[in-house]
Amino acid sequence: MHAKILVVDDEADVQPLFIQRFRREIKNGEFDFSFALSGEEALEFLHHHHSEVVLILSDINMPGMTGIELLSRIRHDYEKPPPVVMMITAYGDDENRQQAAEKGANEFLTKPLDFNLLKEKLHTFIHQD
Amino acid sequence: MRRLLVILLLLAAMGARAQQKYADSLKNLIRVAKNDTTKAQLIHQLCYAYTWTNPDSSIIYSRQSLQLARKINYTVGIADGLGSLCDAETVLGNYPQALDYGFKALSLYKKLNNIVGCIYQNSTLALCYRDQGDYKTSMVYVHNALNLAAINHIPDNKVLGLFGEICSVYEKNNQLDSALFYAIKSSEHRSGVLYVFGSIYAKKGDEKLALQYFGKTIADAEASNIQVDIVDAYNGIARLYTAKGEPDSAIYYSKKAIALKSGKTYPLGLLETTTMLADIYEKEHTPDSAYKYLKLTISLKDNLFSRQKERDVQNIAFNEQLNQQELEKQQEQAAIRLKMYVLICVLLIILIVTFLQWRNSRHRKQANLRLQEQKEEIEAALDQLQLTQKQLIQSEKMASLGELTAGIAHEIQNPLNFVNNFSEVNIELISEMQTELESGTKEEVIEILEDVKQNLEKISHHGKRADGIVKGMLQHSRASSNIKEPTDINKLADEYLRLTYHGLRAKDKTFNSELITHFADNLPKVNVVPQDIGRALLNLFTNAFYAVHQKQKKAMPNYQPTVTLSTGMIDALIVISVKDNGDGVSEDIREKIMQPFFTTKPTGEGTGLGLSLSYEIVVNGHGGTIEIDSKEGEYTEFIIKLPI
Repeated sequence: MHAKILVVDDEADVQPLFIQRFRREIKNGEFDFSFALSGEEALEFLHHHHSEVVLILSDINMPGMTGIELLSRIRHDYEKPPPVVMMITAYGDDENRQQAAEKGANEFLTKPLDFNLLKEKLHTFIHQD
Repeated sequence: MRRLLVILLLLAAMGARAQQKYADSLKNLIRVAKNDTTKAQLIHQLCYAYTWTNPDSSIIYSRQSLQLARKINYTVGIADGLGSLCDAETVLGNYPQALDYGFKALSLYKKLNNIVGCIYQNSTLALCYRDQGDYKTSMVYVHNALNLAAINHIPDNKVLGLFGEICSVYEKNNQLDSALFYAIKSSEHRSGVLYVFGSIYAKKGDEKLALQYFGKTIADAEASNIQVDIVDAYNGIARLYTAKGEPDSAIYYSKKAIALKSGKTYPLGLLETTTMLADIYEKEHTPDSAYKYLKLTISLKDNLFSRQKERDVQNIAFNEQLNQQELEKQQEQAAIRLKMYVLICVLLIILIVTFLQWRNSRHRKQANLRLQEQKEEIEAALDQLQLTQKQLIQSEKMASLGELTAGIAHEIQNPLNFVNNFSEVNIELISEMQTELESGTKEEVIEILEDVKQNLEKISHHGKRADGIVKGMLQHSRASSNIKEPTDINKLADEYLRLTYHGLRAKDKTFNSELITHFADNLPKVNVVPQDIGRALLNLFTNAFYAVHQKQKKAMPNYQPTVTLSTGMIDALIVISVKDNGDGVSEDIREKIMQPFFTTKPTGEGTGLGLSLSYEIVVNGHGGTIEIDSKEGEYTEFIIKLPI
C-alpha cells in the first residue's frame, strides 16, 4: 500500500515536521510525502504527478494562491479520480470552514495540527480508497 | 460826495449875485423836488451856500434838512445836516453846540463807514478847536483826517477842501511850512486859502507878499460875499501895520473890519479887531477909545469864551471822549467776542477731532479685543484639535491592532504548531531512543539524537518567533515610547508585511496577493522607534494591499496582485520601498495623499489618517522622507528613506 500525499504550506519547517511525525509510516512504506511551498508549486507538481497523488493537505493562508483557490483549481482540473483534499488552517472559524466545504474540501483541520487525528483521518480516507 | 468840495468850488467861482442866483435856483429845485431824499440833499447844499455868508440862514436850512432826513430815515442826510450845523455854529462862535453836532455827525459817518464824510468831519472839528484857540486838539483832528485819507488811499483831488481847511490850522499853530505845503496843495485859492497865504507870509516877514495876498483875499471874498474872510484879511493887514509901527494904517484897516459889523455873524473876527484896536489906542494914549474897544473886547470874549461855554465845551468833549471810550470798549468787546467765538469754534473742532479719535481708538480697541477673543478661540480650538488628533492617532493604532489581531493569531498559530508538534515528535523519538538503547543499536540512537537536536532547535526557533510576534503586538498596542533603538529594518519590515497581509486575509477571504521581498544583505541596524516605523510601514502595506485588492475585484483576467517590499541602501540612507501593481494614483491625489483625513476609500473604510501618520513618523519623527511614485493603471511605489 503506497499512498502519495502532497503537503502544501508556505512554512518550510512543515516538511521536516511531517517527515518526522510520519517517519514510521514512511519507513513502512505506508505513506509517501511530497511537499510544495505554494499553491502554484502544488499545481505544477500535480500537473506531473496527478495519477500518483491520492491526497492533498493544504494550508489556506499562503502568499499568492491561497489554499481555497488551489482547492478550486484541483476540483476544476482533476475530476477523475477526484483527489482527497484536506484543508489545514490557523483560522478555524466557521466562515473559513464553510468556504472550504463549499469548494469541495474533504476535511478541515486547524493548526496546531493534531497529528494523531490527522493520521486517523488519513487512514480513513486512504483505507476508503 | 461831501459838501465842501463841490459847493465851495462853485461858490468860489461865483459872484455875490451869482451866488444869490444859485441859492434861489436851489430853493426852486427844493420846491419842485418830488423825492424827499433829493429834497434833503438840495436843502443841505443850500445850508453850505450860506455857511460863510449867512450862518444864521445856514442853521435854519440845516435844521430843515436834518428834520427831513430824520423823517425819511436818511442817515447820510442826518450826518450831513449835523455836519453843516457844526460848521455854521463854529462860524457863529457857538462852540459847545458846534462840537455837539460835530461829534454826532462824526459818529454817524463812522457808523456808515463813510470815509470821506469822516475825513471832512474831522477837519470841521479841527476848525472848531482852532477858532477856540485850542490848536493842540485842533491838530489831533487834522492828523485824524490826514491819516484816514492816507490809510484808505483817498486821492488828493477828492479831499482838496480838506487841505484848504487844515492849512489854516497849521498857520494858526505857527507851523508855517506845513501850512504853506497844504495851502499850495489845496489849489483852490479861494478867499479862505488866500488869507492863509497872507498870514503865512506876514509871519515869515514878507510884508509885500502878505499884503498882496490879503488884498486878493478881500477881492475874492467880496466877490463871493464871504464876510468872514474879508474881516480876517482886514485884521491881517492891521496886524501888519501894527507890527510895522504904523498905528494909523492899522486903525484904518481895523475900522474897515469893524464897519462890516460882523459881531453876530463872525464874532471871533470882530474880537480880533477890537483887541487889536484896544491895544493900539492904549499905546497911542487914547484912553477913551481904548476903553471903548476894551469893553467891546471883553463883551465879545464873554460871549465867545464864557466859563459856562468853556465848561460846556469841556463837557461835550468829555462826553465825546466817553463815547469814544465806550465805542472802543464796544469794539474791544466785539473783538473779545470774536476771539471768544473763534476760541469756541477751535475748541469745538478740537472736541470733535478728539471725539472722532476717541471713537476710532475705541473701535480699534474693540476690534483688537475681538481679534484677541478670536485668537483665544482659535487657540482653544487648536488645542482641542491637537488633543483630538492624539486621540485619533491612538484609536487609529487600536484600529490597526484590531486589524492585526487575526494576522497575529495566524502568525502565532504557525510557530505554535511547530513547537507543539516537534516537542511531541521529540517525546516519541526519545521513547524510541530508549527502545533502541535497550536493543543496543548505537547507530540508530545517534540518528535519533540528531533528529531530536534538530527538532529542539526548531522548537526554540519557533518559540522565539512566537515571542517576537507577541512582543511586536504589545509594542504596537502601547502608546509610542519614542525610544529609539538599533533595529533590523529587514526583520521589522518583513514582520509587519506578514502581519498586515494575514490581518487583511483574515478579514476578507477573497483577498489575495503575491508577496515579493527583496531584502538587501548586510543592512546596518538603524536607530529608530521600531513600533513607529512598523506602524508607518503597516499603513503603506495596508494601502498597497487595498490597491491590488481593488484591482483584483475588477476581475481582470491574468491579473496577479503583487506587493513588493524591497530594502536597500543609497548613500547613507536606508531605503524601504513598498510597491504594488494596483491602479496607481493620479497626480492630483498624489499631492494630497499625505494630508490628514484625506482618503479615497469609501466612507467608513478609511480614516484618512494612515498615510499622514506615516509621514509624521518618518519625516518629523525620524528626519526621513517619504516619496510617492506612481503610474496610473500600473503601479504605486512608496519610498521611505531613513538616515542611518
